[in-house]
Amino acid sequence: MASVTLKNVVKRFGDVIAVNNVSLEIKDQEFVVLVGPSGCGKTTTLRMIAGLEEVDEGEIYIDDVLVNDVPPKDRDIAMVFQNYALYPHMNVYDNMAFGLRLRKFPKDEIDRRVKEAAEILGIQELLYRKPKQLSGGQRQRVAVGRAIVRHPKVFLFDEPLSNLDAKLRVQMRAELAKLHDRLKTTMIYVTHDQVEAMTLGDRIVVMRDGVVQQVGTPLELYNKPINKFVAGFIGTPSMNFLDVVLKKENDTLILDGGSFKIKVPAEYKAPLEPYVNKEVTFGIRPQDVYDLAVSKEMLRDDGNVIDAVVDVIEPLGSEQIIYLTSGPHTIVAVLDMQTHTEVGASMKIVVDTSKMHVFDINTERAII
Amino acid sequence: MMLPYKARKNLYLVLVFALLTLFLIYTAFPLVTIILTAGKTNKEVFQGPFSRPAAFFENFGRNARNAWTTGRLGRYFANSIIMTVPSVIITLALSIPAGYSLARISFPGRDVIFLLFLTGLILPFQAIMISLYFLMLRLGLLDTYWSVIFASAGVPFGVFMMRSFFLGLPQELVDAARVDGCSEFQVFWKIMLPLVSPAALSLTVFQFMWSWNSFLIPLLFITSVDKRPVPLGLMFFQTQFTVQYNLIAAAVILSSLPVIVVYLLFQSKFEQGITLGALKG
Repeated sequence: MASVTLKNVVKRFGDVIAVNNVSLEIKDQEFVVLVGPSGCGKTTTLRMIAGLEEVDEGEIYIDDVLVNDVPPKDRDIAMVFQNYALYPHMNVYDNMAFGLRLRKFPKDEIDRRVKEAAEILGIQELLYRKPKQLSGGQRQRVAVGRAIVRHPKVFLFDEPLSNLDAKLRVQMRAELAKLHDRLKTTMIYVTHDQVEAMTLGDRIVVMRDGVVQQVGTPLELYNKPINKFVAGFIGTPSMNFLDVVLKKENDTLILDGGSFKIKVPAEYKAPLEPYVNKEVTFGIRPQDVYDLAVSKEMLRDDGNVIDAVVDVIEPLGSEQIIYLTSGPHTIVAVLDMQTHTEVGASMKIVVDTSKMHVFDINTERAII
Repeated sequence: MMLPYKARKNLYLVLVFALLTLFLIYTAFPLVTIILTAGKTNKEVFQGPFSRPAAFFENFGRNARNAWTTGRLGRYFANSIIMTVPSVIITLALSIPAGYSLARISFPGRDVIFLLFLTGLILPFQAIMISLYFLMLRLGLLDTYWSVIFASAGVPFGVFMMRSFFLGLPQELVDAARVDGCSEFQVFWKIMLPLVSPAALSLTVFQFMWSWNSFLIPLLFITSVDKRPVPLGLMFFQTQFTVQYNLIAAAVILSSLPVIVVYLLFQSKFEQGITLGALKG
């Protein structure tokens, strides 16, 4: 078990800066998820922690030991790869025992650890099969097994679930969470799937273009995104962003979208004051948009209603995703099945302004 | 008028089969005549290439025995084995590590070195045979087995082939092995080498075939009758027994057997090697 610290880490590939001045403190036993779109530098960061990429600038510490020049085999880390990376010429048992044999563990200790890991992962029956005889889910379990037999200080996961089908992914996600609870080891997990990030991580690190955008707990990122990118990346469907003009009418701030006007609650007035008569981006999550006809009483207020036309309806069974148009704006709403509407119909929607976000249109940083 | 889809499909199949049959006849023709000739008496040979031998197996046995003893085929076989086996070993021993280094290890001048190997592959033997002759002369290797062994070792092709196979293996396996605790050499020895064994076997078959059938190289370097390999022996055999085509045919069949045996031994792995390379690009 160990802490991992990155100090101003930089990685370049030719002229491209893949990781730009990243600093992170990962505590002992913490489950940290690095998340971001393709090419954001999350995997490169993980590979630098593993020792598979050299660090161009900055320092990486595992348990307060500088590891910049320590080869992967001496870092006491284990890694699970996206494509499982099982050795095709070895059976499951040998795949799992390989790392221990290299470290000259006694035979009975190897046997005990492999069987223990196989039991945890429910792969006892597969021990003498070759990887090609296994399904994707089974291979991924073996890859995890190969990591846990080593009892490493830090587990590194590089998009381990992205090759699995949706159902298996959900199942494995839960199992990884359980595994973390059981092993109580520091885990660093890379994914581009924000649902995985939200469900697994004690803390999430959102990255973009090699730069850390925000570090926080899942709820911090969801409720208090630091900028438009984080706001848009975390949450499904993505947050609605509407470019509006902030106006002041009778001492009340109004977000004027042309086709609608939204009253800004009084508590947000102070930070927004400098933006009066300027364009800002109004952000509202689809889950915070309701159908006026069936919305809760507290939301029935004239200052937060938008007239819109239904464009697309995606029924999901328990809820429905409705795409609406209001003037030049497209708004996505997640509504319960009580709402009955059809494509082309007019609809009054109401937004929960207590959960609204406003972003500076130029810097994209959150104002509220 | 356009033919209906089914008719066009059938016509296409007829054309394909016609073409394939033509190729089959073209390929099988010399083979069939040689096999038939090997089972004939000297008299039957002159009844035409496709005449049916009266006692095929009996005649073939006698012809083969005669060729083996009077034609000194036994000596030639031994020479061929002495030259082919080391040539295969040298090719594998040099091509596998070189292919691995060129595919998987970054070092300055790597691409230039690979280009030099490619040049070795592109240049025909005829272009370098004179200088190679003088090289062997200076090294004092003329008329020795080593001259043929060194000259027929197909290192450029081997390096090219093994490099492509090593390139086709996923980098994640290397990463996984390094994280698991492998040193750079252990990555090569314990992970990468077992995975390219089908390719190495394919190279073994290719190299065995090329060395065994090599004619120009021993013709250039070998002057002693006692050191001639099978193909060279067959040529002199032809001039020596000019009218005994049945003996020559039997000798040809005997000389092809080792290549066929080696191919059959490694067949499944050999085909796997070829397709593995194709699929992995």
